[in-house]
Amino acid sequence: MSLAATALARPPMLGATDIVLHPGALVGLVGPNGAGKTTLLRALAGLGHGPGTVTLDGTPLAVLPARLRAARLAWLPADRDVAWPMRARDVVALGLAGAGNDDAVADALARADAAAFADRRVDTLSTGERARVLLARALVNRPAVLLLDEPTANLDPGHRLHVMDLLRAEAGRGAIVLVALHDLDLAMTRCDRLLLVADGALVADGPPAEVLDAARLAAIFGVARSAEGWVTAGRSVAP
Amino acid sequence: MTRLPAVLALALLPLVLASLFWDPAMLRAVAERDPALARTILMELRLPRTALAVLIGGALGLGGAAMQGLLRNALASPDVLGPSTGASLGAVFAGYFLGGGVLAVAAGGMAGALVALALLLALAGPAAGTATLVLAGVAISALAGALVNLALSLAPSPYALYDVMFWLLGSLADRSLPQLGIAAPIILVAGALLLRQARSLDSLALGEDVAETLGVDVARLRWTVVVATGVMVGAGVAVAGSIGFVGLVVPHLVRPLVGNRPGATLLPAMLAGAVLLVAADMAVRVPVNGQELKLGVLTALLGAPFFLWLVVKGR
Amino acid sequence: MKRVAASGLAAATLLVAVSAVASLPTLAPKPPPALALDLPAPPAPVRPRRVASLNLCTDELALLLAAPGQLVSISRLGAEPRETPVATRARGLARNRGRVTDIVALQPDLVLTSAGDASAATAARRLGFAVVNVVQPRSLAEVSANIRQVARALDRAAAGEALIARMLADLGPRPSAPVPALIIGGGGQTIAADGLSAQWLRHAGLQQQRVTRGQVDLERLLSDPPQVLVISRYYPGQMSANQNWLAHPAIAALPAAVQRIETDGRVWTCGGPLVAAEVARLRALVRR
Repeated sequence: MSLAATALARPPMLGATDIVLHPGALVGLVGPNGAGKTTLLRALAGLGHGPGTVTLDGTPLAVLPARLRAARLAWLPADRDVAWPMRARDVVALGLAGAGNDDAVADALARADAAAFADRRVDTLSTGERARVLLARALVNRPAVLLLDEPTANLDPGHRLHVMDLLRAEAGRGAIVLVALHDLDLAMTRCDRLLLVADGALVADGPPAEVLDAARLAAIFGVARSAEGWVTAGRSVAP
Repeated sequence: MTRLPAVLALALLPLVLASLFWDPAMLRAVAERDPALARTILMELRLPRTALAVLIGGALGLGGAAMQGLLRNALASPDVLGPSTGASLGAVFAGYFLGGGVLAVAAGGMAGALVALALLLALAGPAAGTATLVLAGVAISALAGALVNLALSLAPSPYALYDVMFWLLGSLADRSLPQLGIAAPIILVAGALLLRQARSLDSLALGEDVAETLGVDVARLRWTVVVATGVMVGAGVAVAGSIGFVGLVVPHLVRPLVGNRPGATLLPAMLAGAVLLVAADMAVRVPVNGQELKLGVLTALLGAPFFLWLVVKGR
Repeated sequence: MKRVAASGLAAATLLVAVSAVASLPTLAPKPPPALALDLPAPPAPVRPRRVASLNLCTDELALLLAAPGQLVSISRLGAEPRETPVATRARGLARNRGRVTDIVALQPDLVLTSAGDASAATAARRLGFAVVNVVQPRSLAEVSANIRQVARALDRAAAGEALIARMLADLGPRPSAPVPALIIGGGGQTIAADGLSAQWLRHAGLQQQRVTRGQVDLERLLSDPPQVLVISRYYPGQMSANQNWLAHPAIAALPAAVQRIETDGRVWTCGGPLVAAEVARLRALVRR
């Protein structure tokens, strides 16, 4: 199984570069603000009408029946909005393609460490709690492809690591997992492979240590690693 | 939670019977004098009146719930944001200027509701904020209402003044079986179509894009809800005039009882709309100070304060 | 004189209002020219030669009483065949929209106004026109008084007496045992049991039933049907929510014992002398 993309967005976005994702690997998607991470994830999820083709096992997403696509592919957007004050449990159940399955919902909530507020209304949850509920929604269907936009944003450190472990497990059970991250530490330490985008183009694709070398960190993110942790490089704040 | 529709249906039954056999002393007196006449009262007057109250109340409740689900906005409803008044305008236009019969009036009502609804969506956008939505809706509603007034002023009808009252305030008094025969199939078909959108509307709670990845054809959903709501409300208004606030209020009453799921709100909102309108239509039969209230006046008296409360709460 | 007639009346006022909307620029009353204010009202001529009427009800009286050529303008409604049977006599006359501004240019020497529109009479007087303001009649005696008032102002006293004589002949003696009846117009509008229209009906041998509000609903009609149902046809064939009411199947389903008679709705609007012939027609139709 593979998710492959060719010439996804308008030039120069991703140019003629192809992206092929395979099961088993936890793939991170990194890049500075506005680099095109969200655009790429949406395109891979079959959203938007950009040029290019995304194929799942060779079949273009556009021709895949909607139900089948929904059963195999899950996309988690970066925003945490739920239009109605629904219960967490009901929000998660939206991710089920078929009829309601209470066990699957409870299991997904437990995996996202959100079981404690399964019966609470999402509008009464903190942003981080709601983020975990929405993650559970993406996981509940055990999809073959997981495309996640900033699932660790707003989470406390413990839950950030928990979510990365969870995604690792999803990859381990044979899912294709692509996760956009702002936290470069998480990306470098927890991912098997990184895609680096900048200015709307795919800049690098490979093992984390190769992709995020010192030159790219300085040129693209304006940061450097030092003994004290991250420091700014090439950007200064006027006194 | 799943018992709610059953409870509402059980509540509807006695109300329907009470509406059919309203003023039993009078009915009995007529039946003793002339059984055929009593049967006429029941079949030609009470039956269409009660059935239309059920159908139109259901249509407004269901239409309101569907519009709120589609627009993800609790202030959306066909009877406050224009489609009902648009239906009045369409019906008036078809009736007075195209010289139409009952069918043409119904078609005009549906066309008017659809145009108003399309205009609302075009002005407010698919995911409008509350302020934009209410502003656009109130503007459309006011414009359509003014055009109804204008149209009736220009129609050389000696009854224009009374007709304005009917089209803008609504009434179920003295409706007939032929009118029921036109409205019922339209409302039933469109209503069934809307009820089938429950799951899609639920998914829409997470936004149109997520709904799309969950297998919902959002464009088709939008068209289905718009057309079905417009047709249903238009057919109702064409026979009963525009009855305000039912579609706004009813979904709010039942939504918390179904865990605030927009799709799960549809069926109970439909039943509760029917309950509310049958009850309201009985209430207006009790004369106040020798006069009977117009149905639309009563629903506005109940609904407008609720609308204000929603606005204050949403601030 | 209410309801069925009133429906027509409401319509008449409304139509005037409509025409007002249609010609917004002249809606605001123009201040009278200063010259006119200084002039005393001219003495009424012996026989006015340029008479203008501003209201359907004075139109009817004027059209029935005036000598040929005496009238110069009547209201639009007076010339509308759907509003009054005497519209046919209005051929060639200028039509006004019920406002003084419409007739100023004609320089009438007599203006007929209805007491229902006090501002027209006031405005006409301020412009220096001779005005006869005719009240809404509440009894048959007042109908005769109105005829005499207008006939005298037109210097047509003999025509007035002839019209009254014809009217009384049509009316005939009041039948002693009237039949319970209900007269209904579109939307179930009806009349008061003691008003002018009811007095006219009484001469047709019909006693209008007492109705609490000015309107009957179909349940009231079916649960307590009158012996005679007089259905007022007014603008027949025109679509209106109220007109459609008359086509409700329940009316057709009334017991056969209920006699249904149609009446010309136009004459009831003003309740003037035109009703008399209609009353005679109804009296001949009523089953006893």
